[in-house]
Amino acid sequence: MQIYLPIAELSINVFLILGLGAGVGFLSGMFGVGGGFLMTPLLIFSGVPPAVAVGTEANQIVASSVSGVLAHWKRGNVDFKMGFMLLIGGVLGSVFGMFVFKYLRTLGQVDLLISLSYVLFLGVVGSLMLWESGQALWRKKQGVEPKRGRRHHDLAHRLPLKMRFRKSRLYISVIPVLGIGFLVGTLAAIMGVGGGFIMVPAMIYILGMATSVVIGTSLFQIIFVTASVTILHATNTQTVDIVLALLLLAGGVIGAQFGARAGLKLKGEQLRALLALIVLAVCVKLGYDLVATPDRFYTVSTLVHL
Amino acid sequence: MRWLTLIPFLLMAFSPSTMAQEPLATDLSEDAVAITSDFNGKDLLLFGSTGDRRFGAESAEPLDVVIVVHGPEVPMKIWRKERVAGVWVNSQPVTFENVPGYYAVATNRALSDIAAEDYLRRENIGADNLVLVSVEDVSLDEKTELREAILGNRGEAGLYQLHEDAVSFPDGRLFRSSIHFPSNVPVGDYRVIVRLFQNGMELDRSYSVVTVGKQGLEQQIFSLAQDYSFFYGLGSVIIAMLAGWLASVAFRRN
Repeated sequence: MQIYLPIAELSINVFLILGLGAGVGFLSGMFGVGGGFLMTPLLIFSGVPPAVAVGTEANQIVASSVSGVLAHWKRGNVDFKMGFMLLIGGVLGSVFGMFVFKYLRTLGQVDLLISLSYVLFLGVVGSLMLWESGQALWRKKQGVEPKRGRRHHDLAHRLPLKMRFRKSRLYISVIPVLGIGFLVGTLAAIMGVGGGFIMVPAMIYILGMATSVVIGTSLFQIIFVTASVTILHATNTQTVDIVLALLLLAGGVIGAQFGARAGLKLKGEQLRALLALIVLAVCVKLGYDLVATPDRFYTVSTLVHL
Repeated sequence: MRWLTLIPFLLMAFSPSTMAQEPLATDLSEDAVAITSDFNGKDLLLFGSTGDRRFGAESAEPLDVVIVVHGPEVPMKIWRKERVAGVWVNSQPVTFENVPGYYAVATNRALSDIAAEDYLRRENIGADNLVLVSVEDVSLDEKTELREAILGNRGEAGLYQLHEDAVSFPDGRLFRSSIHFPSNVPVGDYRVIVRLFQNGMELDRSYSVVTVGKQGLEQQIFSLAQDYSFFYGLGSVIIAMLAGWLASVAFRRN
């Protein structure tokens, strides 16, 4: 069954989109990640114009973050003060990211920007995760007690403008908080991701937040940053396809429920190793497309989408 | 009930010709293509009568029909890919102002057999004879290459079509053909020009217009996104928030 997407301006199979939503939803439920880093490239591989994929995926992440944050909120695992400071940085970052996106769009380089950002960030995060989880798995096999690694969050303590975050049990400078928010907001606007895969490690290793509040707080700020990205894309590039977003989230909601149950059957480090492999696979595919000799030596655009 | 409009043609075909020169007459099965949510391309039928000239008459030279469907013109940018530090990137773009978003030609036999190359070029018949004007100054060689790339790209998208055996004659004076609009067809007014040839000479032509437009919900969503983009964005966010909340309520496990 085909459906015509009014903004993407193409006819696409409904079950393909529902299936993509369910598949990525399954993984996001299983690993507790947003899944934007998988969905945006998959949409592009299925023929959706890159700009539409980014704008629409930001809109879908608003929905998945809202449903994710409610459970954490109920358990009191959201540090609203920290979330609020992060989202100030995040919203500013999304405006900056949108500016960069728009500028490169006029130069015809936005596809390159999206691909390069993906290869860089997925490559770094995927390698780090694989290394960390591989070590954890190896230690477990050897029966060695995991060492409590020293947390490198001295920076957050040394900088000025300190603020108390009671829930996170921290008294740290707001400068790295705003900085991390800004970086993630920029990436959200350019890559069509929530940025949880950067935000969560940064909160633990750079800020030194209590692990219990990390995911809830990250989800809380992602709602507002992706909401800001959605509105910015809607007003600047007109690339938010609400029909596509609704189909994706219908599939995603169902997939996430099954994924969450499947995730309970695996150990933490196994999950992280598996996720790292998926992240690296997407990275390799995008990287290969950048360097492989293209079939066509010309890019043609009707100036409607690029 | 559109087929009723064919009755005059049928009558014309079977009644003895009294006038000296009955003109070429054509009609389309529909004069609009509506893009709705289940739109997946569309075929329109084109019917015509050659008037008092006959296809099969043994005494006369055979008649030929050339149908050209010319979509709305849009500016188009084209980049050559270049390798920079191992990565393929787009180079400086060249803009063409007046590229038809859709261009289809249907004939009863090879275009080159119907009319002389000169004539086809002068009348801009056939994708190869379209006049494309670039905004930037480029060399003739480069322009030819870019032109080829644009035609190739549009052809692959199914938006440029050439069907040289697509006009059929169920009767000596009647002919018919179909026009295919793929699902990625751009919106706007399409000019349909039907030309009647004999012995390489154009005898007559007829004009009509087909309008391709989004309709219903597709149209409303699209114009909302274009004209009230802020409220569209805000609305999309609110819908997403509600959907997320609903999902967590629906799947709450006690």
